[in-house]
Amino acid sequence: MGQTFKVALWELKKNLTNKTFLISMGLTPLIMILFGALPTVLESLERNQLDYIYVVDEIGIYERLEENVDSNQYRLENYEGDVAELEEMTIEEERTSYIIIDDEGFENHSFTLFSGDDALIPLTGFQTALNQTLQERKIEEVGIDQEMATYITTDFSIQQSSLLEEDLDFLNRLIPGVFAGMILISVFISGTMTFQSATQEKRDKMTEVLLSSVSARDLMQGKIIGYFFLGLIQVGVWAMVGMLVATYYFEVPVLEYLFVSELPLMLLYALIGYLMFSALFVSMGATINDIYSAGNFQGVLFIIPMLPIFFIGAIIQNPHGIVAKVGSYFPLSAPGVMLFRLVIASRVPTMEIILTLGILVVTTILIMRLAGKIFKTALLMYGKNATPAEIFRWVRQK
Amino acid sequence: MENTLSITNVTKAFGGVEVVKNISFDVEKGDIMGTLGPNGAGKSTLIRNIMGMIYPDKGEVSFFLGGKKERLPLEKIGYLPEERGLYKDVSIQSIIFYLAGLKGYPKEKARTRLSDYLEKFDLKGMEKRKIEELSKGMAQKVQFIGAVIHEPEFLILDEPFSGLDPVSQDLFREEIRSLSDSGVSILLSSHQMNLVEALCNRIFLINKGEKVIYGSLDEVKEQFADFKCTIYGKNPKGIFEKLPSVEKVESEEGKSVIYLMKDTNPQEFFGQLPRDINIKELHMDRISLHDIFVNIATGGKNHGTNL
Repeated sequence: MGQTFKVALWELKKNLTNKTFLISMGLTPLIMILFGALPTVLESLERNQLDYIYVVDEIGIYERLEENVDSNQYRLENYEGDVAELEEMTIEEERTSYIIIDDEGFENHSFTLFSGDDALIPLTGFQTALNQTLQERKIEEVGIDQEMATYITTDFSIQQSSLLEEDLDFLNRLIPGVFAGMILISVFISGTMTFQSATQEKRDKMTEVLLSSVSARDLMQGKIIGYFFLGLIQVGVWAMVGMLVATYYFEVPVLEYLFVSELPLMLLYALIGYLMFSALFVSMGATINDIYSAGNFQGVLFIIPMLPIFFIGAIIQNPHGIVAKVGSYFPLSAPGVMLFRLVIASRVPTMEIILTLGILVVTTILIMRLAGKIFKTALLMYGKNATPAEIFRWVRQK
Repeated sequence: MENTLSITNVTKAFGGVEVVKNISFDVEKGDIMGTLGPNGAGKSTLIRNIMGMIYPDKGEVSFFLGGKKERLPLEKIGYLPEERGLYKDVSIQSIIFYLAGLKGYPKEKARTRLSDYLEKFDLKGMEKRKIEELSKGMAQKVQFIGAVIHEPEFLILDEPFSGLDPVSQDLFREEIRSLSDSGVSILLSSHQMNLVEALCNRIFLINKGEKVIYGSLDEVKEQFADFKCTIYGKNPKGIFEKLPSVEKVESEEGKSVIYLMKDTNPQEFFGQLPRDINIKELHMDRISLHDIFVNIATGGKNHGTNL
């Protein structure tokens, strides 16, 4: 075990003193913040812009419509001139539309808003105001008093609440889920790094020098552990930045939500997922002589950790449905799917947790054993990428 | 002499083909044992078996370092593989300390030893230089330091001289000899026969996975190093080929190299030479290790000789 930690420490130190790694670790959260915030900022700039609507009022509702409409969103103007001229004006001016409110539309319950721009204006606010105005007009026509009318037409609302819901605050599960998700993303990144590390060792022809001092098993375990801690450091930095942004910008007390009873379980799934994928990656990295000529076979591996993404829609709809269950019992998708389920479902049955953990642990042990065999043989093979047939043969070796 | 490595009947096959067949030999304390053989003879496979990177299908590899039998005391063994390489983007100092650490060798002792070796190999003051900034020869010296930094009792050097200029070759040769004098057992694989001849006290020649010759250099030379006569002058090849003590003749424009049969006395050969041959210059030499190697590699000698 001592040799394993020496290798782990070396991998950790090698990366932490590598400028490229440090820059990418620091830049990733900044890029995420930038790309996360930029559309929101741009959207809010767009939202704050006023839309101009000319109203050709033939039934005398303009004043009331102007009262009902949100003046922060729409600027109305009563137009009484030539419609052909209005059409030209609408095309020339930006964010401008016109509507003709006439008897025919009133009878048919349908109007058309003519826009002079490629971008369609958000209609909901204006439609609500127009509906309200026209309904008031109709109520007056049939002679109902305004108070009575309000009493009759007030909408009812439905809120949804699950009886299984123990903790009403969704953030209580979302935040630990996001944290565990970050670990899972880091699993993928660190896994990729173990893959590259094994490939690099072959490219630099360091393999035999290392194997003259450590066993292949120690070397593989050292890489897995080293990159695990590197991943944790990476997640730690990202989590800290995320926490600062959430606490000070969104005013969400992240720490309060983070330490909940589900967190250890989520971390356990993420950890087992890491061990499984990194073993798979490091052994496959060793089968490649040159990363640029890596075959599709090894390339397919990188899709595997993404599997849960295919399940996510169905899991959100029903966290206990067939898709969710299949994803939970299939070991390669289990860590991600179980993380989603623990976040979305109010409670995942204990038996399912035990079973999925059992399947994951057994699969991980199996994969690590096979990976050890592949790693040991593949490391000493120079000059070509291993074929699937060769890899299969090594797995069958005693 | 006390054995430090014992190889007993080692056989290794890949895909049903035996690459190393029933190989046995010993290395003694302070020995410089040369393992020779043409490309693909099985030398690297044999070394990987010794280093525990692959396991023999049959036979046993045992080390006797520190007075007891051990399978593979890695911390006491130094290894310079044929496939040369080091991490490119780290400093000499970092990589040497890492390799010393893996062997359990104290960092402070490694620092002193590294400094001594850098000075000896004309790399003084380069501790913090990255490997990618070094020439091929310099990187090879660093790799050699990596193999010996932990004061190994047994050293395996696979083609240590390849790619080195003559000055560096001399430097390595001196260092190897000095390590041997200090009691380190060395197993050396090389194609440079002149260097093997100058360094090794014993040799093991392997071809197609099988033992060809095994013994001390003097014994091998006595057994195999027969005489060859080089005659400069225009002569038909057939004149020499029909002489009773001649094994084979290599002839080219104005030069004939005549290999004499085993145990032939040079005077006896001179007595057989026709009087009318053209001799501008004549040399009589014992054939070199190089000739023995080429002869055996091309199938000119019987296999499996213990001396």
